[in-house]
Amino acid sequence: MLNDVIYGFSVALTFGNLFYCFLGVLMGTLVGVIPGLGPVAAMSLLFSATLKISPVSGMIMLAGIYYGAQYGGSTTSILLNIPGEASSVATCFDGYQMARQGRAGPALGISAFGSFIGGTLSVVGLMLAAPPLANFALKFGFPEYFSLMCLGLVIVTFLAKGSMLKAMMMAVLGLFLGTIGIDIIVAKPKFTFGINILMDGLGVVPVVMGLFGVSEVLLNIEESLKTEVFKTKISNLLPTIQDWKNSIWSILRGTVIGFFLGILPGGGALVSSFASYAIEKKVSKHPEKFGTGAIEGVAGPETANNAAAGGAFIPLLTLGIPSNAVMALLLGLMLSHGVQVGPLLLRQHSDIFWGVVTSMYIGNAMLLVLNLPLIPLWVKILKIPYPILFPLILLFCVIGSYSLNNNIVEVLIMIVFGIVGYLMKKFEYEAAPLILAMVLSPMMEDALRQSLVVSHGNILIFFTRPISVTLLSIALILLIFPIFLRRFKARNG
Amino acid sequence: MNRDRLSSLICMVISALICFGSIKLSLGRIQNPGPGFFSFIAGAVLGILSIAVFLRNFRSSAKEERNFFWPDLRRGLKLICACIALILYAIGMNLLGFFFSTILFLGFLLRAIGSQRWSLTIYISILGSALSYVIFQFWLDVPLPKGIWGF
Repeated sequence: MLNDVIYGFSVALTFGNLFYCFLGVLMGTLVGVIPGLGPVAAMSLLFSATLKISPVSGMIMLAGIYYGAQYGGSTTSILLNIPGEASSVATCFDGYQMARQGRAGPALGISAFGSFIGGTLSVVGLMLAAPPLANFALKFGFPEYFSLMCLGLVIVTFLAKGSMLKAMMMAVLGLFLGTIGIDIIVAKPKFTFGINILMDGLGVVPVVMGLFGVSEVLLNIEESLKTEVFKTKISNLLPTIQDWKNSIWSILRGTVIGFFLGILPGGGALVSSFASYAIEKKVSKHPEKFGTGAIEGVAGPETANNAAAGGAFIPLLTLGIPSNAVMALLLGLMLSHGVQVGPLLLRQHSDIFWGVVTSMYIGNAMLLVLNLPLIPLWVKILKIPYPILFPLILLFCVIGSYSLNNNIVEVLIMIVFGIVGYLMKKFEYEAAPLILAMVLSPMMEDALRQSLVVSHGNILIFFTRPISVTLLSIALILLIFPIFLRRFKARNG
Repeated sequence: MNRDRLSSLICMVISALICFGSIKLSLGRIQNPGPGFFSFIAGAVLGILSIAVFLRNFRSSAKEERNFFWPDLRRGLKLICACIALILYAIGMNLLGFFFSTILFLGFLLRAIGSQRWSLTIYISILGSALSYVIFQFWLDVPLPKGIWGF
């Protein structure tokens, strides 16, 4: 193991990769700070540029954007009560209150330190958990993969914010969208309507940028174009000893919560930050202080969302299954480079695995150093009014999707999904299940069909193999659980 | 009529279309599933779930929502204009080239939708267009569309 880590550092500490890491975390923080522009958009923009550099360097940079954005999102949450990132919403509750009491500095400070600790420790977890998990996954055959992906989708819908039924609808719709393209087995085009570029399927990047980026801008155009600017000086960035004493357990709890929730598909930074906030409130001796500026309410969620970023890499790097939209993009990157994803990644491309993992240590350290001094700069950027910012955001989205294949059809796909995403937001449907299902769909379809061919049409193959039936049973429990919960609640008034 | 009733109806139509298309692609047999097999299952499940959501909203306890879509019609129109601008921009890029079409795009959004002053609009449109052209075309080596006059 130590050899692997040293190898990883030898990959990550090259001049080029250090530069890409720095670029990634810098862009990530910037993007996290600007509301409405998420890590997904930034990663998509640089996606085509990463195709020209080695897969290791590309992954290092894009990974840096992801966890960098978690850092950046906290700045706007604390200063403006506007979450720069969905995962920073929980930070708004107490962080903004602390800022209003003149304690913006310590809030930002503890959030930076907590993020560093959470991010670093979760990378340790990733390092320890991934190799054994990858070994275990080597036993997986087609039925196991199919059941695993089913479970993954069920978990995503279970963790969805709104109605589970509606989240499932989006998931199956995503499964359908993933079938668009050329059939793997029969080589017939499916649902392409004669449009050439659809032969490769709907690209992840245009769909993600549309559903998450463009739709957000459209929603803002329709609902409001105003943002408030917080006019105050930020002095005294360091938290006091008392602050540290209050926060240290929140930070440790946040790390554990974030790491494990980050592994789950559809879990990730958002769920972890909310879970951490709820738990901090529950275990606190002064729960009434939450919402008025309790530093634990900042330390916990901020640590959790960075820890989740680390945990989210586990399914991708060990099983080849993305747990959220960001991981889906990274999966797309690796596939474009012809990298074999799945449990064999560790063996065949150990430079990618260990290089990326060690670069995450470096990246977290860079972010700690970057964040505190650069806060005045981020505040300046935040003062750009949204009516000026949103055309630029749309411009970057357009460039990002065009640059993939030099084809305006991809831009049009992005716009279509931007409108779809807007409608989904209006009608209260979740986008995450759709995108995850869309990415998993080709793999799921392949696993399903191969399983049925191998078993000569016997569906019981999914239920007779031990790993597969275990996975499906967990999925079934998660599906039925809410129904029982509702009946239980109704009976007890 | 409420949000969920309307959206579930739309999804029911979509699911019917998906299933119909999948059948045309051939479902195959269970021992040898065809290209339409997986998408048919997806479409069918979508249909069943939409019916469930629809029925859930059909009872008298379901809330009635009027006017949930565009309470402010003016902003809704701004939204439609922005969408049309996006589509025209995408199509027009190949004709006018990246540089000029971007200036027009940014200008329209800044002025018509963001209601900025003319001076600021012109300044940001040209600056934004030029900067992105330089950054993406020259520094990051991303080919941007060239118009009928070559750049």
